[in-house]
Amino acid sequence: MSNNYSNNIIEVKNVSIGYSNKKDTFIVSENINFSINKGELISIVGTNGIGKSTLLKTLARIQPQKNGIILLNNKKFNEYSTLDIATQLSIVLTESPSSKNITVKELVSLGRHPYTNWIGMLTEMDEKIIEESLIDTDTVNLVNKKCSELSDGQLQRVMIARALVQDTPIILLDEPTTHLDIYHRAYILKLLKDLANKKKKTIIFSTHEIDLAIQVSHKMIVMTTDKIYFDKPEMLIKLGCFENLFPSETIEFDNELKQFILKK
Amino acid sequence: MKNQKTYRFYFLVLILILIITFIISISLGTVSIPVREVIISLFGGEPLKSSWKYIILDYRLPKAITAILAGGGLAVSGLLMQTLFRNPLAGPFVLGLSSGASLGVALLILGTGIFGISFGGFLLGSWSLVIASAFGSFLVLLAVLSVTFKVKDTMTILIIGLMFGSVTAAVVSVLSYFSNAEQLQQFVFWSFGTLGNVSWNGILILFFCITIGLWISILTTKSLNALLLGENYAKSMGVNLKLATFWIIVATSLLAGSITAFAGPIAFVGLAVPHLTRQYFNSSNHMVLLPAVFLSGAVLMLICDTVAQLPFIELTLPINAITSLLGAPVVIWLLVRKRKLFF
Repeated sequence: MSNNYSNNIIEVKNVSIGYSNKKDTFIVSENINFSINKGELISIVGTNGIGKSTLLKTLARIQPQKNGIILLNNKKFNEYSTLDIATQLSIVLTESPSSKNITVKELVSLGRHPYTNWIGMLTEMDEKIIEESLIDTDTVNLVNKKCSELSDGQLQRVMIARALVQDTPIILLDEPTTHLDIYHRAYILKLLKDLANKKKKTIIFSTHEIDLAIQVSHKMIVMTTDKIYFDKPEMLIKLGCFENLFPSETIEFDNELKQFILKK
Repeated sequence: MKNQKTYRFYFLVLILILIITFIISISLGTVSIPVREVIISLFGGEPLKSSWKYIILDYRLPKAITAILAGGGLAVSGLLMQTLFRNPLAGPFVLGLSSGASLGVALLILGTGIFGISFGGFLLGSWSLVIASAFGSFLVLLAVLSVTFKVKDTMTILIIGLMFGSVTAAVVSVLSYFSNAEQLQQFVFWSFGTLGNVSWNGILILFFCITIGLWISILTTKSLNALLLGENYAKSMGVNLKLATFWIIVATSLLAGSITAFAGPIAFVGLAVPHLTRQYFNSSNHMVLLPAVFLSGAVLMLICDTVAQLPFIELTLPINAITSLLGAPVVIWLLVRKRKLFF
């Protein structure tokens, strides 16, 4: 196995995910096992409602895990303080920022939050990191725009810039390609791939773009009702994971083309 | 984000306007006193008539200071609430503070007749009103705070605050129904709001509360800025949500609660001023907005107070009515011009 133990950044062992209120606990998915290495680009795919977002939110510690162990840098997830987690993990969610009035510069700068002093003052180093992230995401020309003036693709890039500014080894993204056209979808995925390869960021994202995800991901998490598969895309194709992902009467997975095609 | 120079210029202009409105507010009134004499009195000199000095130092000056504290404090607490609830309709009283205050005052004024307890004329002085109002706000605050420890969702807290408001308003209605005309009139007068009834001792207490409230607000600015992205993002950036929510609510209660206790319920300022300020400052950074909103609120309140004086007529209009009468058209005009009101 290429699975070098010291390279292991996230390890998930027998984890159940779900949500609970006072009386009941709803388990969305259980027996989740995988371990992710530094600098890997991992995609999570599966049908709607299978628990992709819940898994991501659990990994971001927005939602508590129900069972099992999550290790971050070989240390138990729950032993981290909120502020420590903020220096390890940054997120890009499907929800857009609450304030529409906020400018791109202000929004991206907020990523320095875990590092700034009590008043949120930006140091020269902070400014440098912000500028770098703006360049990496091609958002320099947007800095003075308000969030309400951005297109979906621009906003997505800005949110990724903010996550980069947070300067964490791991970035989690929930469906970063929704609402985007094919060009921008490819653009975002290529950006993520570059960040993983060049900046050695560990990136985990959920997506419905299975075809594109197969092309860019180092490994994939395929969530089905029975089982959760975790492997390299080619292995998953060999195993036939994608064939059973959706009911087979309308679409089927073509192993040669590595994509779904409409049934005639 | 505009550069620092622009902000500095804006702040300078705001402070200048504040000083001008402050002097105008003190100069105008039922007795006309020349501006020169006003300034002489303010700096400890002897004006032409000794009664002028008395009017200025013991009546107009405390009123103007109350206006600054009340306007600025209410505006800041409105800003805090709008960001905490991420709702442009939120204001300082969404948590039911003013309803709590009115319940306290209603129980004092109206309840005395119904329950057959007589506090006597002495107790119905201005201090008892202040205490009743503060007590009412404090009880509602305790209720809301205990809810915030149980409920995570800020929208739920918002709705619960509104429910508290409805309940207290209903109790006030029942009390009013059983009261006599004289008591009702006294209560209605309190609800008009007034800046002129605060003594120097009162101002000292008010100043103390507002200073602490503002200081806590400044300490929460970093969390407030993070909250602009929503709760999940704020959490992911290391914000302790429960603690931040707690302190933001404490700051609001201190500001709005103490002002309501001394000046009665003053509507509109807290809701509108943050919106007005965002329009011309064009920033979402609370480090900029907080002082800007305070200054703007103070200026607006001084202007309203000046208008309420109705120069040349021996009448003072209720400040609570003037703030809305003057402010609402401004906000409507801004909305129609800009078409959108983002927070």
